[in-house]
Amino acid sequence: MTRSSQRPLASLTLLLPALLPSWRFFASVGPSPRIQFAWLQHETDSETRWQDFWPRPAHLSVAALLRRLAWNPTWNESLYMVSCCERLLEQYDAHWENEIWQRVLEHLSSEPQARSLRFRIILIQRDSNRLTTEPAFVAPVRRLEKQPL
Amino acid sequence: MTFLWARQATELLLGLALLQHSLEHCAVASRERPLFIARAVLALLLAASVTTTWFSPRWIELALLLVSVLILTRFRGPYNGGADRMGYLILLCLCLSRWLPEPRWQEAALGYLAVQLTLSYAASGWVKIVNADWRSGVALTDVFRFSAYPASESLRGWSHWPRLLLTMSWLLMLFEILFPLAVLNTYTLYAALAVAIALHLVNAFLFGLNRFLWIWIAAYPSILWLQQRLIAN
Repeated sequence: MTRSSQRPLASLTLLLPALLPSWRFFASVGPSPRIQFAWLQHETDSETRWQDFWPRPAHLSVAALLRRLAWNPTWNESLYMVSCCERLLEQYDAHWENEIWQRVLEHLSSEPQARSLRFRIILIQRDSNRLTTEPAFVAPVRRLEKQPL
Repeated sequence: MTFLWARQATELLLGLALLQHSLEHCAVASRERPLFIARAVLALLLAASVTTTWFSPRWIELALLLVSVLILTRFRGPYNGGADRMGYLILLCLCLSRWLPEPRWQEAALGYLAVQLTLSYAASGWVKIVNADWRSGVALTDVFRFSAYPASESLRGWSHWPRLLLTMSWLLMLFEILFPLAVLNTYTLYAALAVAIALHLVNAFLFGLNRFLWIWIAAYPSILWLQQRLIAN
């Protein structure tokens, strides 16, 4: 079977889990990934100030909660990025790294001084009764040819 | 509830749910916008097909299935996990019920959706109840304490209420695992679906899982019809 004839078949197999779904919502709570990014003035900067990407709001009003029932696109996009992180950490594939890069570049406000950008994934988990945080993946520095919007 | 009524209600609710999903995508995903604009238009046509004979739902559903395969290929699987999976399942079942030649096969397709809806609650309850962390309330505490789901930082404070979360864990597990029994009687089924909607609402408020609410409701007409078809009559 040629590569081109395999592609539609592969696409159709993606529908199979829809016909025979596995309903295992919140079966267990594992390490939780977060994305952080850092602006760099030079690619070789050794000091990195990491910031959370899309930090959640401190508090949501009842009106905001009600509005989010009908309209919550950024939150759903952030959940997709969590799933990209999990898949990337499970087995590295450039596709998932690019998915994260695409969104980080598209949604960050510009930083006039910065010439480069990098992101990392940290994992938060419970160790006995204590929460631990450790970096699980650091993306290579990306030089910004054009400032993100 | 007749089969035709249940199928049309499912088509209307699926059309509206997919329209909501697609518009959200259009707002954030610039590269995939053409795909989601196409899906939004088809979803609108599907919802409108309930009130007019201008559009044929069977062709709209086939086109939606094609766009869905393209979206699945683009994201290498479902974008929004369980909510997308339920959407694809409903669409596949509707498509089969519109294209299969024999009325009993058409009914079987919608009946399969009802069975999967029941399983979606029962299986979720089972995987939780066999997990010691869920039985002790630790799992739900962890969800609030450090998972990616709480919609605001203030909601993390719920992790300081372990007894409340233990009670919530057991209420959730018992409801999910006992859901199939509710199908045995029309009134208990209505009550169980009302509780299920309340649960999805809580999930949407606390964890921002709004898409689950709309897409699960879209599958409810199938279980209401199947219950009447097999048990009430």
